[in-house]
Amino acid sequence: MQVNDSQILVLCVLADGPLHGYAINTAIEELTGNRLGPGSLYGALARLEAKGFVEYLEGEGRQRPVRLTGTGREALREELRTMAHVADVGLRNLGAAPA
Amino acid sequence: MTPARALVRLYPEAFREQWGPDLETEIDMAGWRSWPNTLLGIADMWLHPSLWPARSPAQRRLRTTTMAISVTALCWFVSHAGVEADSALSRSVGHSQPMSAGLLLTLTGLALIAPLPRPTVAGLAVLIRRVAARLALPSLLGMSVVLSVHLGVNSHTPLPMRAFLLACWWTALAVGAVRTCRITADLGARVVPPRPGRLRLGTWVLIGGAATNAATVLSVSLRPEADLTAFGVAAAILALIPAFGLVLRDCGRPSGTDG
Repeated sequence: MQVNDSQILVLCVLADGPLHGYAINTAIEELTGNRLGPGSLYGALARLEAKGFVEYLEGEGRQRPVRLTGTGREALREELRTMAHVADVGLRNLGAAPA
Repeated sequence: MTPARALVRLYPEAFREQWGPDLETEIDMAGWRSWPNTLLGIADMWLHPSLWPARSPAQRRLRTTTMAISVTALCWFVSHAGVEADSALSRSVGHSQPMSAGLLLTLTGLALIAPLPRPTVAGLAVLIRRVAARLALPSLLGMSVVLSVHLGVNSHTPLPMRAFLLACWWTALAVGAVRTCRITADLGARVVPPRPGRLRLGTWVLIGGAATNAATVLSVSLRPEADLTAFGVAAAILALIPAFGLVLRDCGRPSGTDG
């Protein structure tokens, strides 16, 4: 795994298009029902940027949107495939049908 | 100043410049319940300088190098202060072979991780000017104290004067250590930071130096006539050694990142 849970969430919501920090957290809240704490969110963004998975764009106001890079998109695809495989195996072992 | 702005100001400057306004909005909207998570985020960022927004991988490596030098300076200061302040400890290990070996390892480690100046006359001139400007004050202060002692400060000198000279000496050492770390941080593109392999090797040598000093001081504290100061100094150095682990972790990953 190249990324942790917070980073996966950030990558997932950015896959839909560039967003600024507050909008990223709002999208995560819509997805999971919970917002990330500011320390966790911006820690995840800093790590993703250091890995070259996201890059920030020049914004119009004080806030700067962030977008997924090609490398980030590929990393997300890889992580989601692994997670989907793990989920399939887990559900099969539980005797439940995959969602 | 709002609490959100005050919290944002605790982040490193490079981080604030990029994420500051977004972060402030987020903290403001989330309210006081987000403060503990924000404080953890602040500590996380200070412990991982390689994650701060940077223009290049070299800038990230320079920050990691600065962290290694800062931890080394802190270890040296704690060890030096302990040995100088405790006369029994000073007599036992002051100029002993193990302490000299520890110092030699530390200097070797620093030489290994030292960023190299770009081989141009202008680059060297900037480096020399920067070093001179940063270290002039602590050097002058230290030399003044040494000169005063040689000119006749002794046990008959009034106590306030001796206390003043002692305070000047420790201030010179502390300021010198802090400014040495800042020289590395300030140099930026004027120097070439060590490659990950060299940084990793140098950091292991620095760990060896700090561990040697800690073991030497600890051996004194474990003698029949227990020395609590020695134990405290050894414990402080040992507590600092794990910080080198953060440097090793940062330079051990392809992009210099973790998590």
